[in-house]
Amino acid sequence: MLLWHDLRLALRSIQRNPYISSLIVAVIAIGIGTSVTAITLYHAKAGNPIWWKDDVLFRVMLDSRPLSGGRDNPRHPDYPPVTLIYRDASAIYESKIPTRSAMMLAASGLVDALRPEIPTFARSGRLTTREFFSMFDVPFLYGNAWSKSDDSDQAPVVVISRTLNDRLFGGGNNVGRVLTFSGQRFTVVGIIDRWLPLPRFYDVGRSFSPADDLFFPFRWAESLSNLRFPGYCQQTDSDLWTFKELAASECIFMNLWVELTTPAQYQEYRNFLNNYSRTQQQAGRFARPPNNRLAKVSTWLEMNDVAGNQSKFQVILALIFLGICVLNTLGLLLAKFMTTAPLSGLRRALGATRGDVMRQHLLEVIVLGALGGGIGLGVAAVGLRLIRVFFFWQSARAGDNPDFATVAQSLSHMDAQMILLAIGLSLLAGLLAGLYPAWKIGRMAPATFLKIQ
Amino acid sequence: MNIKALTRSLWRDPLGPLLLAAQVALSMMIFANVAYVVFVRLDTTSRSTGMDLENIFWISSQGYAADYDQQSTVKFDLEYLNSLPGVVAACATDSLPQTFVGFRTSLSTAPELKGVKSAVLLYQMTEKFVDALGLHLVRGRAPAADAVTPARSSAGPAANLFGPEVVITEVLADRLFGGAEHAIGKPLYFSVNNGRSATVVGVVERMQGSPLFVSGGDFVNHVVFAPAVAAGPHALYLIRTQPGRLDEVMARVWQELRPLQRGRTVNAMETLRNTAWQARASDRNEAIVLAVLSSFVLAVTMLGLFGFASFTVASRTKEIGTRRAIGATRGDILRHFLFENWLITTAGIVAGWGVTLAFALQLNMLLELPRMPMIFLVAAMGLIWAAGLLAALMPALWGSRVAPAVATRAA
Repeated sequence: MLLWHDLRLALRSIQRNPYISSLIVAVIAIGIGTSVTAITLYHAKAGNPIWWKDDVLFRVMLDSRPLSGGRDNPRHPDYPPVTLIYRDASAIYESKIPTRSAMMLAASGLVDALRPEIPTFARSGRLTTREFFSMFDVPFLYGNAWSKSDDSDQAPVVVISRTLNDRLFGGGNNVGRVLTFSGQRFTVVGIIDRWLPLPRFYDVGRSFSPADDLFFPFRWAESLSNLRFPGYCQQTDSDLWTFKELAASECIFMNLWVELTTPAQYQEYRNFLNNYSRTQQQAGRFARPPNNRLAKVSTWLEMNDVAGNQSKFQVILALIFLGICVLNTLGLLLAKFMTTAPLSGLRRALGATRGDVMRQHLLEVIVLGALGGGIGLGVAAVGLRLIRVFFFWQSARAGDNPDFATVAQSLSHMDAQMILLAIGLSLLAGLLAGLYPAWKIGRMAPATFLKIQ
Repeated sequence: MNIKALTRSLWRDPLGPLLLAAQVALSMMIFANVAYVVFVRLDTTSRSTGMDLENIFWISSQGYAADYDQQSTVKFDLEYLNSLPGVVAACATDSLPQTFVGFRTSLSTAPELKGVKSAVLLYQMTEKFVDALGLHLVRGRAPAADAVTPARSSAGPAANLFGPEVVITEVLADRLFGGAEHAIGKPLYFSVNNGRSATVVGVVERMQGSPLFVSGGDFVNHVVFAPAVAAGPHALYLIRTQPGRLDEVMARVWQELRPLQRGRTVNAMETLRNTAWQARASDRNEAIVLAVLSSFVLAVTMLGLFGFASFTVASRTKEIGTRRAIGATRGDILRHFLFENWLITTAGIVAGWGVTLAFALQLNMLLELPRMPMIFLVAAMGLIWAAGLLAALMPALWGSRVAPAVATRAA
């Protein structure tokens, strides 16, 4: 009852000064809208798409750098390079300590469905070992991953994405059908369901691209001589591209992930890596003492600055801007309350307590804050929409791969968490701005105002 | 004007002015820093590349057949492209300029990287690249056609990557030899190419291979053109047309080259201008977002200053009337309110100076930018002063129009 009365007073007070009230709402709305936009964009980029396995999946890094020269990580010069030399990767991959381990490389090549009505087109493929799918919880729609012997025998088999399945074969169960990639025939053994981890933690160079469309047994890297892999040779400080040259060299280009389920396993594997490095150092291959790293997914994303300091910077700026808006609202509220102070004085003189006056004013602030927050959510929705249309789609060749649109959509999607955040932020902003003015009005002696009249 | 009295009157109820000064300080902090970041981003997106971007396009093909032959295909395609009316020149290249993909390596003026060293971007192009890119040759000549190393077959042994004559950019010549005039005829030793040397036969004025990396990377301007047909099966051509004939030539090439199968697919074509534009998209987008954000900041701060001035004018109507009645001119009243506002803005700017520098320090670390030049601080200061005066102008004018007679009325 009391609340109802206060609410009516608040609404009447807001109406009494429509000009200043709408200014307050507008300032809160623009502050909230900007912050929520920036935080949403950051939130989508900073997620961990496989959080449930964060403490069991590890990226393997060995320090194979020469004593000087080469490119160090600019932020952390002590970090080992993120990729491995082929010799080391294949030796370590053989270890039986991890529950699972997977080597991988990405390469783009031409896909042909062997159907004249569908022209060939380029798609990104992943050369990997069979554990990839179970390790990263990849869901299968039809069929399965290839077998262990397919890996060692270089069987001509392929696992394709649902998107590619739709495009090549018009959907449905197409296990057993044939396609060519980079001139080689492959039989489809599995079709994976929609799987779009963002960021793509296992391929940080292209963290916000659609998932790969094709997966092949790793050993095909040896025979698909048309594929190019970005490799870097530390000794000569130059790039190299073909697998044949890379595999024979001391150049780094290999990615290796392992799954270590128990702490004992982790410890054992660490020792194994350090022993490996020490042996290589004694043999004269490694110049530096063991400096190996096992980075779990969250550490790995952080190391590679996947979320991007630019997005962090934008969040900081947006929050400072919200701070400016709060200061501004505080000033506006002070002015607003001062102009209606005589009314409060009258109310006090007629028996309202300080608490009553303060509560009434606070409620007014909360109503204004909630209004501002609601409109702010709309502002954020418009802002995100603009960013999606202008920024994400301009770089993705729309229509070529429908997954680009899906990626853009999920990177600029405002989920329930963000809506709650917006509500929380606007109430906080309202309270921060309103507490002092409400307290000040409540504290004033009624006589001060009555006298002037 | 009585500054002392004015300051004292502001100080009687200090909260409003202090709030405003704090807003001004924060706005200045955002403004100076954002302006700097935007400047850096736009600078990386708008520098001259040294190429005739407007009249160049590229087309690429990918070989897939077992009998695909890179060398004969490139030879065939270049003959066709160079024979077209409207084409100035065409060349083959191993990677596309103005993208972030390129062959980065290092070289030196003495064997085994013992002389003056430099990280460079190396392009393997065929002999007509100077005309095909519209570069300006300041010294020497382009490599001879017979210096172009044929395409290696991926099955064969690791042969030489490129021939013995190279062309470099002027900044690289300055760095290695202390000037373009000293570069011609000098040997360069590469960490690739089996350690063999090549002789500098020409120097071009400028070529920015890749868009600038913000955190260092002069190497994008340290470009070496090495004569070679890059290894297949990816073939990439750069074609420069006569001004105004780009679209016409592109349409014709797409029509005529695509059906020629030769065991490959002609898979993409784009103007170099668009490629360069797309490569800079993320820098440009960030600049746009930041510019929008800082215009919000400025608007809200001006709104605050405007609101405060209106409020003081409105609540002092009677005092203004009294002052007018005892002889103050309209100009006096106008100056009074503008000066009051100026005092607040200036207090904010003084405080803003400190927070701006502190924030800039954090920013340098976060975004790996070089130090912010003082000019951005000075510019932000000037802008905020101007914005503050502008915001207070209307209310101050209202105040100056208050009639002296108001003093005689009861409230």
